[in-house]
Amino acid sequence: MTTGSDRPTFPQHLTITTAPSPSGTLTITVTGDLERDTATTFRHHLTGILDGHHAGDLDIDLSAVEFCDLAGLRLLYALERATDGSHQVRITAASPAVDVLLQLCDTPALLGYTPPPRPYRH
Amino acid sequence: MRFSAMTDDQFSAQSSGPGGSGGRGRPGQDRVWSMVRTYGPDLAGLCRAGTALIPDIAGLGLSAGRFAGGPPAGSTPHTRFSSDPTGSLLEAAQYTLDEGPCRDAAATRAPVLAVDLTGASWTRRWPRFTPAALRAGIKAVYALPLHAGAVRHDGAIDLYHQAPGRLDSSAVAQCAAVFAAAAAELLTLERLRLDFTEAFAAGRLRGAVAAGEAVSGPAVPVSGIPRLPLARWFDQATLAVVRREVAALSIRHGLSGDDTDRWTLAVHEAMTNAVWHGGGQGQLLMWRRDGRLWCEISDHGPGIGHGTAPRCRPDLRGGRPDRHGLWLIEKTCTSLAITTDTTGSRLLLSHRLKHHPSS
Repeated sequence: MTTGSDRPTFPQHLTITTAPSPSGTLTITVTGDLERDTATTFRHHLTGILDGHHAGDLDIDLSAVEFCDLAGLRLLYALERATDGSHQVRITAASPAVDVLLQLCDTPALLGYTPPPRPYRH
Repeated sequence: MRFSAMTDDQFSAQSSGPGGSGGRGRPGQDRVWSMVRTYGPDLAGLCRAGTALIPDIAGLGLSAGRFAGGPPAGSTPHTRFSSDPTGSLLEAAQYTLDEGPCRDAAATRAPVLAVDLTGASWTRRWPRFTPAALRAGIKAVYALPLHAGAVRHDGAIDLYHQAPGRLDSSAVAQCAAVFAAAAAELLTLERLRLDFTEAFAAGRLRGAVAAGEAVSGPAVPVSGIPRLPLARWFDQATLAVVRREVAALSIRHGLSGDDTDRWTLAVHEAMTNAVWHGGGQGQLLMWRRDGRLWCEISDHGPGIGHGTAPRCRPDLRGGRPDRHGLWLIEKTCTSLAITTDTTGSRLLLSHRLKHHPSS
């Protein structure tokens, strides 16, 4: 993605970039740390995006998330719950940091995204 | 889409924040880490500073058991510091005479204050120590046990004065309690038998930069990966910075792939516990030994109760997001040891390093 229409940077090391496409799909790219301290900021920002995006699908790219904790994962679950059918919200890619947490929590799929199988168990 | 209608408490626990009602430790506990950071890791350095920092004292002495390396911990306490010959005499007397405020403070695990040793009751309590102290010119003694962060050391700190009644103020009591806790932490640090001199110097510098404090001299480079052993003191504002340092160091020391993410997550959860339930701040130590990376995260909060740390899988669709840290740590680490009481908590985490063939 090269065309960021909105690029706020938060002091807690979280960047959210949005890019509309002609087909109406909005791609949201998350960079940085998705954790307890940034989750609230992330939610407020997503709320603003969703309120201004009344039609079309949402693709969320988490491949640049460097760190994710349970608070961050809960936020993504909340997003899944809030989907009311007028949009399709998908996670299109996730980083190993997100995958590890999904695997630890035995999450089969989240917003259309399936983490790769665990290499091993402790 | 009703995402905006969701309530805040689904995302962040509001009931106890950093330093909030759920995580508040004892008064002044936030100054303990500051004192540890500023004057550690050398116990004598802290004691020399304490002589000047604690108001209204003529001198201080510290006796503690030598840590022998594994349970049963320690040995008969011996003098570790005395600010002057009088203090040295006072410390030694309590062990040769087998009685005194220091011995009582260690035995009862509570401070002992003798405001005026010339009172007859003190001679009745310590028939041999009291005359010896008076002969040395000491008339007031205040002794505190060495117990902080869930570790209790055999021994005590003695504060003394030639004038009666000088140690009977809340200012002395508060400052002495902070000092005793800091001294206990440095004694606990000695048990690791690692040289933390460089780590503390770097931690002091890094802490000042993170807090936006002025650092004299040329611009301090804050990028770059520190070395092991590592010592850091963190709060809500600096937790993420320390976490990134731990991640970078872990990669340098051989953790790779998912292991790094899992280990970093575990360390994050332990620090989060200290910030939200352990008084708002804590200490992180990291080292490498026996083919493992180790991290000790300690705080001076009210301790981990059974109710605050369920070891079950989190329900990601509800419930409190902050109550599953131990569950995650146990799943992601090679080992987890928890030491906790009403003076704080220590979480000792380790992760095995894979042995790479030297090709």
